[in-house]
Parts: sequence; structure tokens; C-alpha cells
Amino acid sequence: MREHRRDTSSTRAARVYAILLRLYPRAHQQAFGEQMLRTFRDHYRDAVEVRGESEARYWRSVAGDESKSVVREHLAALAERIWPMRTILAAPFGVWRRRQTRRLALVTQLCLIAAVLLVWTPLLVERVLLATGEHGLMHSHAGSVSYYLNAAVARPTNHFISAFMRATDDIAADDLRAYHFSASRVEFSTYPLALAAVGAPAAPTPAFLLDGEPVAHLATDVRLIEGRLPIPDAGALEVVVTQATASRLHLALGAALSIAALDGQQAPQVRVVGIVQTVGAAFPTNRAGFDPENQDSVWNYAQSNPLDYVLTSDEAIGAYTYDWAQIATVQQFYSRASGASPLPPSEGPPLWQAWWIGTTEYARMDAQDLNAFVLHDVPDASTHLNQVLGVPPLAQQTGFVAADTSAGFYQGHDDYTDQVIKFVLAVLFFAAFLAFSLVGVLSPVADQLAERQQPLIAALRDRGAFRGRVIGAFALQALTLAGLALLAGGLLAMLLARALVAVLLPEPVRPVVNTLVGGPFDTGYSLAGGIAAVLLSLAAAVVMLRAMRRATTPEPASDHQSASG
Amino acid sequence: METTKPLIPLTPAVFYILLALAGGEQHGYEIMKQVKQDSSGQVKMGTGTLYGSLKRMLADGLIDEAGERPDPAMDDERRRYYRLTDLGRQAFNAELRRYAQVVSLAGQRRLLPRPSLEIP
Repeated sequence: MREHRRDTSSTRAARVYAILLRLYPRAHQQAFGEQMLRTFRDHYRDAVEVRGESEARYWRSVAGDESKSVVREHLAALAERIWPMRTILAAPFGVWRRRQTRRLALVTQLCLIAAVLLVWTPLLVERVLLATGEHGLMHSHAGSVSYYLNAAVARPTNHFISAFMRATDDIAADDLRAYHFSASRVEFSTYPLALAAVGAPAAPTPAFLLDGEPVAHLATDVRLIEGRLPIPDAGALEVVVTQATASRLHLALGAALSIAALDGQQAPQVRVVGIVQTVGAAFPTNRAGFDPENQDSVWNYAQSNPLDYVLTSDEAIGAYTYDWAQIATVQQFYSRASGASPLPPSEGPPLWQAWWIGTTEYARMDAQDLNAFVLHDVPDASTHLNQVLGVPPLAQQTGFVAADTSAGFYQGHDDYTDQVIKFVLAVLFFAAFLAFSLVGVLSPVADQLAERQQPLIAALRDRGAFRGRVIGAFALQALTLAGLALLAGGLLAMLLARALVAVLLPEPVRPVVNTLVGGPFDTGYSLAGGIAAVLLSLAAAVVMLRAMRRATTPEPASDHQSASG
Repeated sequence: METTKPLIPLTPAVFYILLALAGGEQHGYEIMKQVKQDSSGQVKMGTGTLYGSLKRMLADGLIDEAGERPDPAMDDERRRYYRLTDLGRQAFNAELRRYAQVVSLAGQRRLLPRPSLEIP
């Protein structure tokens, strides 16, 4: 009976220990599991059944020993699994122990450090300056915002107006005014008097246009002397002019204004229906201040008194400025769809359209300039990079028509273009530098790797594989891995770029890397990334092939002895 | 020719296992008992520790397997026996020499404790 109880106790303990053995790595179990179980049985029998040691004490010692051993064996197994990674990671340090490669390693590592410092530091500084809005530190001509103009707005829709207003808010107002007033065709005489005179509700007016002049001034500072105000839908373009203008241009009430026809189109019929007198500060009568031949005077006056006399109907079908020749070139008067017919007043606030049409040449220039402003939104790196690299401009996104649009910058914006080019060149330069440096650094590593393949190479050669076939097999393996690395590298680069952008850049300028974070394939095979990856892969392949060639070349006996010694 | 330099000094577990096997081939449980006896109970080696050490010593070439056979003193179960390799013996001897040098040096400097007069 007692013998039976002993057998039961021993068997139960062995079962428990067999369960504990499963905690070991599989390889360890297979190699030593059976022996360990047998040893445990022997030990248990001697300790508990022969010497009478308490089971609790025995199991406590077993648990203590097994817990440490299990952890130790798992760590050892992990170390074996990560051996290749450990070897590669340790290789840069390992080469220092090799006298023959020490100089090479020194040179290549110094080159790598220098490349990183020289190439990436300026780029990083530029990016930081862009991100923090310190554009002034990057541009020698701050404020000379001169976009390449071949964009025209066919219709100034509400959307355009709001986009324009947003754009003007985003830039320094001084820049905008300075540019406008320093343009060759300065005009500043815009305002729909009729609209104000009939007491219609004033629509929002671009702040820079009024330049601080309150709308209420129009009702109090204009006095109708003769005739009437323009009437909407009267069948012709109607305008009112000031006494000074009528006198200068010899215009009488009912006179037709001669406006040159556009090419192949009928000239618009504009008739003077009223004479007004400007009073107060908003409409000074000092015509010398408006002499187009005196640009300085105009410019100075325009800065302080942007309003003059443009008289138009509230439906924005008439326009007038002192320089009639300018009107002739204003294509924005006309609907492109219907040829020579004036634009219908159905879209946008009348005030805006009145301004739009009334500003004539100024309007034409503004239409282009402002469209350019809207196209590019804010002169920051994101929009310019996006534009250069083909991201749709804001104009297309917001839906208003942009005709004859072509992208580009004047001299003042070469900075941005330069940045793109510099960036791409720097990446290519860095990739090439890295590739050639890696050849030097990786050579010893590859030699070590190839050395470890010696048994396999020997086995292949024993089976009759000639040297080319052995190298080919390893080359195929290396190329397969390189291809996988290329795909993985693109994905990792995208994730890294996203992470860096999220950490380093504030929200408004994060699109600066839109072209980098468009997707894994775009990123992986983009110009710089793709070429860099190819260069690196080639370098790795060259290193590996060189190492395999060395490994498969039979060494002279004396060399072998000296190497092993 | 392999060298024992990187293996010296030996860990206590490895040293006592080599000491146990220096007397001849032994299986796992015999080694465990011998280690406990040789160290006067100061080195208690559980099953897990024992076979972890044996595994690493096999990998280092200090010991190798001497086949499986029953232990006539225990039962008819077959047990795997281990024995010293030449490298293992060299390492063991080198470690003994190191111990001897340490003891000698301590003696020269009169650092060794006097033998106890107490009868155990």
C-alpha cells in the first residue's frame, strides 16, 4: 500500500514537472527535456521519498531554480535568433578591432558625419524657418511678392472673393498695397456710387480697396449735379462722372464714351447719365493728384486716398475711370461664354462686381494677381512645393474658373524653387555619399557574413556546383532581399516622414511634405527616394558579390594558415 | 588549436561539473549529487541549472556525450552520460592552476586563515 502511494506521489510530481518543462524553449525541450525529467525523478525520489524532505520545501527549491533557468534559456534562445541583427549592428564597432580596416572605417564614418552635418543642417534650418514663419530671414526682398501671371479669373464668384479675402489676410497688407501701387498701370478709382446713392445695403468690400474709407462717406460725399444715377438693366452701360472728369474729357450729359473694342468683339456702349460732384475728403477735386503722367503723385495720392470716381450702376454693367484707354483692354468685362456680352450681375455682391469692372486695367492686373494669390494661397513652402510638384492649386479646388493658368514665379520666388531643387539634389548627393561610404563600411561585415557561409559553399561545391552558380545563388538571394527592403524602406520612410512632420511642424504648414506622404508607392518610388534606394541596393549588392567572390576563391595554404593563426 | 583562455575563469557551476566529470563519465543526476558533495552543499544545482550549464558546456566543447546506458546502481532506465573533452580537461587544469596560484600568493602574503583546532 505504502509502495503504491509512493508511486502515485512520484508520478504526480513527474507530471507536474513535465508541465513545467513546457515553459522552456522548444529546442531546449527537445534536446534535454527527457533527461531533465529523468533527473527530476531521481532527485525527487532521493530527496522526498528516501530522505523524507518535505514536498513543500522541495517544490520551493524546484520553482526557484526552474524560474531562473527558464528565463535564462529564453534569453539565450533570443540571442541566437537575433544573431544576424546583432552582428550587423555591432559591425561598425567591430571593425575598430580590425587593424587593417581601422583607417577605412575612420574615413567613412567621418564622411558620414560630415555629410549629415553639411547637407542636412541647412535644409533643416530652412524648414524650421519656413515652419515658424520667419520668411524674412530667408528672403532678401521681403514683400516683393511678384507672381508669375498667366492666370485669369473669368468670373469673380463669391467663392473667389472669399478666397481672395482670406489670401489677403494671410499676407502682409503692406506687401499687397506696395505691389499694386508700384505697378505700371496704377488705378485707384473704384466705387459704385450709384449703389450707395440709392441706399442699397452695402455689401462687404475688400478692406484693402477702401483702405479704411468708411462706406458711409459715399452717401454724404457725393452730390448729384445733373442727370440721374445709372439704372440697372437700362439697355446700355450707364455711368456718372464727376464735373472734373466731364470737363477734362469734354463729356456732356448723354454723351457716349468711346471704349475700344476687344479683338474681334463689339465695342461696349457706355453713356454718361449723370454728373456728380465729390465733396469731403473721400472725393477730393484735386485732379493733379490723378494725373496718370505723374506717377509719383498718383502713387502718393493713392496711398492716402484710394477712392476716386468710378461711376457705375449697381448691377455692375458700367464703368469709368479717367484713363479710358485702360478700359479697352479689360477682358473681364465680357463673358467668355457669350462673346462680347457683358457679364451678368447674377453672381457675387454687386459692390464687388462694380469694383471689379470699374477698376479697368487695375482690375485686369488685380484679377491676375489676385488669382495668383488665391492660386498660391499663402506664399509658404507648402503651396509652392505642391505647385512645383503637381498638386492641384486652390483655384481648381475651390471651383472658380482659372483660364490660361501657368505656374511659376518671378525672381522674388526663386527661393522656393531653389529649395525644391536643393532638396532633391541634397538627397541625391547624400544617397550617393552614403552608398559609397557603405561600400567601405560594409565590406568587413560582408566578409564576415560570407565567412559564415563557408560550410554551405563547401557543400554546394562538393555537389558539383561551379563557382558562378554559387555566387549566382547568393546574388539572387541578395537581390530578393534588396527588393523586399526597397518596398519596406518606402513604407518606413513614409511613416517616418509622417511622424517627423507631426512632431516638428505646426498644423498649418504640415502639407509641406504632402509630396512625401502621399502614399507608400509614391514615397518609395519618388525621384529622390527611388534613386537613393537603387543606389543603396547597388552598393549592397556590390559589397555582397565582392565578399562572395572572395569567399569562393580558394586561398593559398600559407594565407589560410596565417589567417587561422 | 583551440585555446582555453576565453573560458577562464570558470563559473562555479561549470567548475564543479568539470570536477565531477574529471573522475569519469557521469549522467545528469550523478553530476548533480557529485557537485553538491564536492562543494559541501554550497553549490546546489537544480535540474534546470544543471542542464542549462551542460548545454553551454557542450556548445563550448568542454564536454561531450558518452552515449546512453542504464545506471546499474539505480534502475534499468537508460541515462545519457557525459565526459570531459580535451578542451574541458585543459580548462579544468588551467582553472586549478589559477586556484593554486591564488592560494600560493595568499600564503606568501600570509593571508590564509589558520587551520582550525576545533574538531568538527
